[in-house]
Amino acid sequence: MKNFVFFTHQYLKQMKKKWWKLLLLFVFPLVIIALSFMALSSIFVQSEQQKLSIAIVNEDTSSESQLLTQLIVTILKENTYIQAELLSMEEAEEQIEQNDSTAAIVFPSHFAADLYEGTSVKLHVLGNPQEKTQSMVVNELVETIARYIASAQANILTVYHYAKDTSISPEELESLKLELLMDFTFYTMGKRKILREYEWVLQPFENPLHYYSIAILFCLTIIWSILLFVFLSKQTSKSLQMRLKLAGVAFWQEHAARIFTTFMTVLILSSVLFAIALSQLDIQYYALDYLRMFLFVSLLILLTIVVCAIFDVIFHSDKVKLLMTFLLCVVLIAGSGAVFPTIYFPYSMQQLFPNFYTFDIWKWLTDLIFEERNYASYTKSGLMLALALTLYSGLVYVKGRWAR
Amino acid sequence: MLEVKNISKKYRSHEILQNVSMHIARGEVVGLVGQNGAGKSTFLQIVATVMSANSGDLMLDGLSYNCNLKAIRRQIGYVPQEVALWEQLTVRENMLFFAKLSWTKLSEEQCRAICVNMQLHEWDKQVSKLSGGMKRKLNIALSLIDDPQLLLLDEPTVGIDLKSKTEIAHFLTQQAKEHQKMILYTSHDMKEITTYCDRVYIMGEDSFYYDYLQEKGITIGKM
Amino acid sequence: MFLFTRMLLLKKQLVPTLIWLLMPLILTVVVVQWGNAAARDAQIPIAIVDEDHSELSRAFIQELQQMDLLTIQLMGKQKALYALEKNQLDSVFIIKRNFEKELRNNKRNQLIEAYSTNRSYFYFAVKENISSLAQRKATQAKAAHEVKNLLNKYDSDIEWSFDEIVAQGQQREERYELLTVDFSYYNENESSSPTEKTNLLTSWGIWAFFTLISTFYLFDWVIKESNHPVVVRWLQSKISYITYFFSTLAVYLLIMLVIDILTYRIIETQFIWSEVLVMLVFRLTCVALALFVAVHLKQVLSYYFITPILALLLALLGGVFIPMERFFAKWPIMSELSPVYALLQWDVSLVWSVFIVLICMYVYRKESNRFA
Ligand SMILES: Nc1ncnc2c1ncn2[C@@H]1O[C@H](COP(=O)(O)OP(=O)(O)OP(=O)(O)O)[C@@H](O)[C@H]1O
Ligand SMILES: [Mg+2]
Repeated sequence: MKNFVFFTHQYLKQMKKKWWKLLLLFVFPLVIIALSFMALSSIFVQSEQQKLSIAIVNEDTSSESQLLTQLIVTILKENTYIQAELLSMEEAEEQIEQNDSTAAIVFPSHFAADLYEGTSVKLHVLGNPQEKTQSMVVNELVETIARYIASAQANILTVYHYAKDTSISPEELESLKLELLMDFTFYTMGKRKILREYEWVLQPFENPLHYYSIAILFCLTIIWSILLFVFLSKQTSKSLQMRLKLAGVAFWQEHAARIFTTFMTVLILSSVLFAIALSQLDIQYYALDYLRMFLFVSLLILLTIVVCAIFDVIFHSDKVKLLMTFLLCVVLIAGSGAVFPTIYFPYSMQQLFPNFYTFDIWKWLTDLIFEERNYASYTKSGLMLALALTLYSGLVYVKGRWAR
Repeated sequence: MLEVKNISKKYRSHEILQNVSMHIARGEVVGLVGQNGAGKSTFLQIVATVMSANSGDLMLDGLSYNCNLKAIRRQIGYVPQEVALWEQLTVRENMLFFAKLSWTKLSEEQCRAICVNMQLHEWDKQVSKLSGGMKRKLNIALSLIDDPQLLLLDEPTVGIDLKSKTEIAHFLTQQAKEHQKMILYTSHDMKEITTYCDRVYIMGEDSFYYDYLQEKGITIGKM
Repeated sequence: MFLFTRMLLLKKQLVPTLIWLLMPLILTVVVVQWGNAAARDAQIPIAIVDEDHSELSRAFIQELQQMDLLTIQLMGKQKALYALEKNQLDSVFIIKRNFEKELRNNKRNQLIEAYSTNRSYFYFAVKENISSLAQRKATQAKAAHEVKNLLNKYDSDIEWSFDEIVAQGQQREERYELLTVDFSYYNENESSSPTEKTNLLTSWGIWAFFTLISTFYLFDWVIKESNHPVVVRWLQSKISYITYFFSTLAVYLLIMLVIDILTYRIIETQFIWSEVLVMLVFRLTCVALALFVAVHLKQVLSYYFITPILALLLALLGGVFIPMERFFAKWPIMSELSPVYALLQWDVSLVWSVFIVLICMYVYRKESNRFA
């Protein structure tokens, strides 16, 4: 016990001495998260704000294709983020060159005629090499449109096939063609009405900002526990180890002091941050709720550190140990489902997740925080902690025997 | 001939050496004594070009340290106070490693002969499994590979048993006399100093050493 | 001579060194394979509630089940909605009672009810898929309807049936590729589909990440040896420590380059010299970075700790995990922050090339000043 206090003191001193490195340690995950967040938001925000400008070039002079392209322009314009315009080939090329257009869709000559015949027709998309990703978006879009037109056309041909066998006059047949084309294209593209959509608001995600700030805090707690624990590790030379042994210090005492120091530091930090975050939500919690959350957060930190400590004992090589610990961090966060719902993972993986303590703790935390549940079960996490501690002490014991 | 004139050394603001001068003639064995922390190792390191003095001149065989560093380094064998060996390699591999890198090409037998002269009979054992004294012997042996003209030994005899110590000292002094080499070494063993050294320098103002050495009739160099 | 001594030192760690050298290649292959498999298995869990129980609705569900991305569970409405509420499903689609009847009568309003939540990340894609399938069904039904009208109008006695016309439409659609799309960039002649390349990019991103880590970890000898007491022995040797240092560096580089070229052959099908060059520059950048960090640190442990973090940061900034094009469009300077980005664009970054040269000079100065 005396040794334990001594080493804890040592670790605290070490932390004080390297305070600026420590600060970096705590800030760094924030930087990474902020960066990812900025990158992600820039993807979504810009795709909404910036309009895709598409030039539509019709090289077919027939009235049918004129109408069809006109129709496509109209339909595309319904999309808020697309701006379509009918242009000649030269104009379109000029626009692409000046980076005014993302891409041009070219309807080849004889487009309509070939389509009637049932022969295969090629639409050509001319992408802007300066905007590769957006060009690909347009390509996808055109492929979708083409699928719709093709689908419409297949059915038109069927109708046409039947119509030919009736007593219809050739002139009427001609006008029927055009009529059918317009009718079906319009019908196919205006597909909004098939679905009747309802969107539900699920409790925890009602306010994404709240949800994600708690989720980020949760992840940060994991990351900090791991980073700090690793940070406090130090190389003890053989002679020093010997001296410590002579002084009656077991390996685990120093380790326990490290676990304790890390635990307390991260616990204090996380608790404060959680308290701040919770006070921002407009939900009144009872003292008991706070206690429950606090317990879960402590369980989370302690379990994470003990798992790290197990890694510390198992792996001999420093390099492998560190890489494995970082990998562990990723797995723990991914498995918790805090950032990305686990339902989208492959089924075989999904079945593993309930075995993760992070998954369990995150589930309870969200229930407590957002759904104001006034009940919580610590059985699973508690069991896991007991299991981890047993494993850890077993390993330490074996290692101690082995070293002797 | 090694000449050292008025060198000073500071670690930041802490002054270790102040205007130290000395000289060693060919064929001479010179001792260097002083209290712990007097600056003996620092002085040897400066002479061995591991670090440079803040001021002062050094000359070896008429060559100044300022411009002929490479030629001078070739002449010097330096045995650091702490062992400088590849712990993960064997004795043989350590010898071969530095033999390959040295100016003169030594065969494996010649390397082995050096070790034997240093009373080190282990050959295929890993250094980390050697005893402390064996490591020290190897530490000296490695510095002898290039057959240096000026041998600088920083407490070479610590931890070496009496018989080996005598043999090694005997071998080295004989070498110095026969081939007109210079040896400068530090030690806290006064008996050894009085037996083998032609002259002794005392670092720091230390009347204790002074009286002792005068009593034994050893020439005391003026620093 | 030099190689001999280096081999002596490496002999004991030959296997780990080889493993670290080959790690990026192996892990890239493994991760990409595994990632592809996972992506294939990854699924969007949705529930379909069939209230109609008609032939058409069953056929519709069957076709839906053929879609790769969806895992469809058939269940009752209540159960499905409960699961949705518990966030166990992405979305729920309910085929309304009169699905078949309405389709046959050429009506298509609100045939399907779609329930989603604010956490249905893939609802948009699923909705798109399902509604387009429903749309095709509706279009086929419409065709049948048109035929019926025509035949009525011209008093024809041709036999027809709803199902036959629907089947014909479907056949035509499947048999002929009525409309295809080809893509090319303006002013670029080859009419290649750029999608292939985008897929490969991710594997190069992963490679870049692992290469950063493995290069960092392989260069721990810089710290271990530079701070070893044995360094003083180089004073007396023919080769100065700095020469030895840079020779070792050169040997490592050579081996790495060979492995890089091997990697390129394995991952990429064609062999384009400019791309290989880009790769080599990237590797040099990794080495320069490793040197830069290593010469400033005394302890291997802190080196092992800092470098994976650095690798993660660089990979993130390079767009390995999240595409950064949009981000860089806003702040173009940021794109120079990571050498990974240049690699993924198959570009040689001028800034990092200068960095390599500067670091080499810096390290040379620092190391040669050691025994001044
Ligand atoms: N790297 C260093 N930085 C700062 N001070 C140093 C350094 N190395 C040595 N010193 C100081 O220089 C002084 C002389 O050290 P040096 O090692 O030369 O002593 P010494 O005479 O060899 O002692 P000993 O007999 O114990 O070997 C000491 O006071 C020591 O504290
Ligand atoms: Mg000393």
